[in-house]
Amino acid sequence: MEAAGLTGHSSVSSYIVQTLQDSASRTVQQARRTQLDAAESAAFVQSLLAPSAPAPALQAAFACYREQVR
Amino acid sequence: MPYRFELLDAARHNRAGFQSAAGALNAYLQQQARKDADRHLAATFVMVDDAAPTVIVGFYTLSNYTVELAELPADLARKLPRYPRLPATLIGRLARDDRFPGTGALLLVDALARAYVQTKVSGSLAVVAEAKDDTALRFYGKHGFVQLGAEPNRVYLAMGTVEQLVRSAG
Repeated sequence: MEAAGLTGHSSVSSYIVQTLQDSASRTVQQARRTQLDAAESAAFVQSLLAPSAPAPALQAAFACYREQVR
Repeated sequence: MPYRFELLDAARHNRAGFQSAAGALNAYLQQQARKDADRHLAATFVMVDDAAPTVIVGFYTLSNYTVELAELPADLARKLPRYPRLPATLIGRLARDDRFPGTGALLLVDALARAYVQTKVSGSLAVVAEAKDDTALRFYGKHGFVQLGAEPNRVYLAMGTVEQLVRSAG
């Protein structure tokens, strides 16, 4: 009750709903990011600067896609 | 056949009829995908057969993603803008109906091509995928994805690789 009042909510239920929504939003945000350490960052950036050629399986899938999808 | 891709339309596409081996993905499509679209959390694209356009052959979701970098060695740091956070695109979910074997790769190609096209309006340096299990990990690995950082179920493909793929069509 005190926490609801301190955060400007007129009722406990609105406080609970807001808290759950905030928690869900934080969970979604955490699921949508990756934090890399120094070695991982260097490897990631290297792969962006010199991207590999598409894998043979991906090239084959692309050929099928062009035949089967309009 | 042929297939085509559309944004999920709950009024038109038969979500209840979709049956993949992964119950969680069926439940997502049937109960959550439309809500996520309404809240702008993730866009769901479905593949349908022209001959039966209400039947969902497969689906995938796209949303924005962020890769946070640690401090880079000077030689690498010089080659990139000084952004500690790099934008990427997330394939959060991808599944095909069990009755349509061999269509998973078509879903993946469409997701990659769509992510690449989107870079013209919103930056993205890589496509990240969330692999739900070892089978999914092997699927993404076969198509060139590699592990992202220390997270075993998160893999990525550089957008430069996707660009090469799309441009190979001429």
